[in-house]
Amino acid sequence: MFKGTDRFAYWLMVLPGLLLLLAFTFVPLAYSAIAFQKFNPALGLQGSPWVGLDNLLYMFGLRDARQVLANTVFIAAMKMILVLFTAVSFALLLNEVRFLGVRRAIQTMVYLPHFLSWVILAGILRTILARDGLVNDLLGYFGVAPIYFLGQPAVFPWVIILSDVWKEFGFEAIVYLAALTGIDPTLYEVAELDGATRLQKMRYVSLPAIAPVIVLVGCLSIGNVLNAGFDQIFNLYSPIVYSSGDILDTYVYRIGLIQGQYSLGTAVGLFKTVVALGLIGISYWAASRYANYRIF
Amino acid sequence: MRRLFVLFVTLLAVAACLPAAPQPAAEPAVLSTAATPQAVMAAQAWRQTDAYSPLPETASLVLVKGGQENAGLMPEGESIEENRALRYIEETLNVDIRFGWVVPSDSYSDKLNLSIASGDIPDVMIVDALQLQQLAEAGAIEDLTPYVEQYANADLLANWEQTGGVALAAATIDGKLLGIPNVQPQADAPIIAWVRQDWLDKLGMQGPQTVDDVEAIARAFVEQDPDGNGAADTYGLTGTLNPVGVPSNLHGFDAIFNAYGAFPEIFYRDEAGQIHYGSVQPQTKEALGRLAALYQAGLIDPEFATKDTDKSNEVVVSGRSGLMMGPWWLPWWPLADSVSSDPNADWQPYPLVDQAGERSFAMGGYTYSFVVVKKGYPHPELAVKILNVQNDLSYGLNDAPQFYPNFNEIWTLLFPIPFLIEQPYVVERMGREYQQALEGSLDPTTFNEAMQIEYDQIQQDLAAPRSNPSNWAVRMARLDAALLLAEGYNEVRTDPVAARVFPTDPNWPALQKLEDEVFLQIITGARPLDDFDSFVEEWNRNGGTDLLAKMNS
Repeated sequence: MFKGTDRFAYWLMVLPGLLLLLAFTFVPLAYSAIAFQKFNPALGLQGSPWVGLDNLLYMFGLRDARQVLANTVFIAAMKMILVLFTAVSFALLLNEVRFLGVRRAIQTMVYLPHFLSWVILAGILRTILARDGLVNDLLGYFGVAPIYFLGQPAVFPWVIILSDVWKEFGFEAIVYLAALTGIDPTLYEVAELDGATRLQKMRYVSLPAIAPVIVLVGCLSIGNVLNAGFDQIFNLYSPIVYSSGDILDTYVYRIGLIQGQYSLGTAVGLFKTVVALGLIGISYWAASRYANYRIF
Repeated sequence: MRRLFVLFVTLLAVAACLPAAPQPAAEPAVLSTAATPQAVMAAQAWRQTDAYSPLPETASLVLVKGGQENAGLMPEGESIEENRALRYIEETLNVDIRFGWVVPSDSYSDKLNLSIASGDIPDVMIVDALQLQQLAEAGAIEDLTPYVEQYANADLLANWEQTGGVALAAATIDGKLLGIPNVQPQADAPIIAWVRQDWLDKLGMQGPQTVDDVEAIARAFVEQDPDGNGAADTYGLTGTLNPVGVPSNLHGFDAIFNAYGAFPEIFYRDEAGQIHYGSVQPQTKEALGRLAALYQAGLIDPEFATKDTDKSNEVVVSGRSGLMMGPWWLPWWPLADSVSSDPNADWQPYPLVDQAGERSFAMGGYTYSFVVVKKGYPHPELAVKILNVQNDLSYGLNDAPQFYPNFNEIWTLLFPIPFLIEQPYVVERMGREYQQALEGSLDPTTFNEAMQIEYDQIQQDLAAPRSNPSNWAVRMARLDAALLLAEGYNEVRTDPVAARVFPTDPNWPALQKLEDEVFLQIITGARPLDDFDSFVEEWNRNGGTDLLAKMNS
């Protein structure tokens, strides 16, 4: 389809992106070797002594590592499921709003938080979730004792999950709204002629029409199951909620960068990379199997 | 933490030369660089000694630096790279100093690690214990033994000696002095209680001596509306997510631990010579039990466990608490802000005593950082000489000019190697001297310039208490708190051998995480106190026993 110079131009177009990918993803991958060394920055990659699988074995023996892995999977999976569910429900409901202006306005308001960084949102959350903050004041009216949202290991993951759902569902819903507008209106007309109620139209026309998109998004997100959201948790957690809120990324950051245990940090990071690679394979397979999704 | 560190390092820089030391009498407070022309310099005999001898040919020296976030404090037309103090050093030693990079203080350590890993090592740099160890293992730094012997001036040598050899020992690896150690007296200051006297007076109470007193005061502050605004909006004791820690843990509960004879996070040596870890001792369990009871009773800020230092400072500054723990320099930060917002806020220091009625406080080491020289740099002695000159500039010794009236605020920016080799116990000594001057037994005109400025501020505050928060802070820290420390106390310090072992131990981060988590959970009641026993077991099993064995071998 593309010939000679044409193709060259396209390559040129993707080149900057490829270079960045190479520099920030593939080159660092080579440094995963640190996981098999007793790394000393002064000796560098060449000079540091090799220790085989010691770091990885040590990591698997660590109570922390297992706990951190469990936290990561739990938080990331709950986020995925709830964001998906909320976004689909929201899209279906918004699709029923007749006035285009109202629809647009709601949609904009709802996806706005997606563009705020967690540094800012965490500050806001800390304030409204404080003991004398908005949420506890409201609960107080109903006679509920103040809840220590950011300081209770049992509550903390849910603060993380629900605030992420609030931040992201609006943006995620855009995909479903787009799919919904693509539905042939005659299908609705036919359903009406058959006497379908609004709920039934939603159930038997809208939902099946966007089902492939739901399956696709769901499958593709499997690859993210070890990404529980570093910047969100990093800005909200504290030692008291390590037991339920510490995730792989925050753990690697503390161990590797703050406390200078480069080898252990890299070992945990490498473990994450390997598992993520497997998961992405599964998600691609599932996406092509159930949603007919192909990259190549 | 690093910001905090820089802050009190800055405070300590005010420290004085001995009153007897000669002052450059005729020199005005602010000089231009023209005050040190070559002719004058050549006439000064001390310059000919090894400690200051200029290089025969101008050498270049590449340094790196943190502190960028404060660059705005520099005087008009000057910068970190170009200022009068720096130029004085360059001219005195005939060296051309350049900076490879300047970054904010928080990123200094990370950035330095990157530089080291990429082989782009600066000629001279400030490193921490872990980096010193790593550089030493890699053979990447010079042995400074001969250079320190030959070039360090008498002041620096005396200051190291006063640590009982601990400072130099901390920098010696395999018999070689691989780094120049800092000495920071009270860098690891004892944690004492600070209480609002105006609230105490209003409720008819006395300042605290014991943990029981602290509890009674906290209860009264919570229940009896000490600020008189009719609302139950005051907390008892403040706290932060770091319940214990040396050095200088603001809002830390260290004072309460120490009062129970518990010294968490300290590796101390007993009389038999064995090293123990304070966090796993039964006394620590007792103190944790007491703290849990205080928390349960609502006498500690209920949200302390998720507040960092800044957040807890807000509690104090906004007048919602009148009881916090911290070091002697607390009046500068954050208490001066409290006085600014409420001139009635009369904070007073009270050291707590243990069950035997004695003051015993946990202290860190004297030494936290080291100046090292890259292997192969042709003039390793420059590092020592620069530190000589910097020390003179700090205290006006050896005719060093005093360029800046606000030197204490900006010295970390001015100096190419922002590093202190201080006299230990200088805080107590200065406190006593101010006291003597007030009593008339010491002539205040013998004070050096920095001390004279402080002495004026102390007098102004004594004449009109708390009318100026800066004056109040100087008086309260330098005089009242310093004199309390001067009354004496037992020090429990981390052993220098241990201090070198634990930061490089691979199990240490996991052990620390375990401890942080368990302590906070026990205090807040998320776990029962008896979980302390399983914590100790787990600590031992996961590398603690091995770590202590390594230290005791």
